[in-house]
Amino acid sequence: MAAPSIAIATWGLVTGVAMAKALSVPQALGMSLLVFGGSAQLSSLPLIAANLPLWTIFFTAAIVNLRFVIFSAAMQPHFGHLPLLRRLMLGYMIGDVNFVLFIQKYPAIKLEEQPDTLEREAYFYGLSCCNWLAWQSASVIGILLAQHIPNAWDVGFAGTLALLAIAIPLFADRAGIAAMSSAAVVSLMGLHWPYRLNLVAAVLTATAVGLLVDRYLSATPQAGKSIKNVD
Amino acid sequence: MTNFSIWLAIVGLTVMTAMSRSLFLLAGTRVKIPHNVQRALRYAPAAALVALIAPEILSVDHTLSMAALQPAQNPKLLAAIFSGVLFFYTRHMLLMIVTGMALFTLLRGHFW
Repeated sequence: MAAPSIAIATWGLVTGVAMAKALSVPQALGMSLLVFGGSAQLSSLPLIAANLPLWTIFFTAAIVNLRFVIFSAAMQPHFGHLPLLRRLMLGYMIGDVNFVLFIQKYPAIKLEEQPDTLEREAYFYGLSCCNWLAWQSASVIGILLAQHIPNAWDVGFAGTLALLAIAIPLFADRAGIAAMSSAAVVSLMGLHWPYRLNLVAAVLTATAVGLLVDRYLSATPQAGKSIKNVD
Repeated sequence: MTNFSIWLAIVGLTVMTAMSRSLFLLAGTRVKIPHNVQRALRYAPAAALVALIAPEILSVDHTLSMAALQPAQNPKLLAAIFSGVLFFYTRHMLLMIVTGMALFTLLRGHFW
């Protein structure tokens, strides 16, 4: 968790500075400590700065948070049977890094070979506490230091680079690259559409393109190879 | 935005983020996501990120132009490509951000 913590802290610091540039210090601290979701926080900032209606902020956050919905589905076999409050707490702590490390150690498909729920829960909270501490401490430092960082440095670009680093591993295959290219094109074409509707159009287009390319690639297997046993 | 509506946004974002992270945990053990839906959902988060990033990198002051699409004339684009490739091979976020920012700052001094 040491190397991942550095990455988490970097992103937290950048997010902290970016928040303090767009919000007041109490607002930025409140956002960091309550929302606890870097991509939702970062993506809301340009919308808040542009004075757009609240629903555009919530809509963008809902799309950006979709990956967490997928994470929660992967956690369900492990913890779905626990009492409501414990499930809520577990859910609130899910982040990109601790989720990936947890699922690597305890894949849901081999559930019966694994230690009991309490041990898995403890392991998850161990990861999550490192994640929370690294993220929040770096964010707070970023918020407090932001006023000493000149605007001319364009720290916002560091935030963009951090988002890029999160996005890159998410499109590792050919269908993903096609989908993301189409998202970029649509987002640019709709640059001047109201309410950032270009984001909506980009997500819908990318999903359609991703599914189509995926289907096309899996429908054209190498000659002579049987696909009977696939899936 | 007023102070009040920013706090409203923060509270709303908190509830939405917490809900999306525990959605299927809250559903208990009853609901199962269909395979097709899971496949479709795979592309949405990355697409949302790319749709946010693209205008920041590929336009100058939110205006489209041919110059903004050419790495030789757009310091942000050149810095993003270089640091993106660097990240792809090293998976080192701090190195990527520091390199990208340094390159951007150098190039910007050179271009402007």
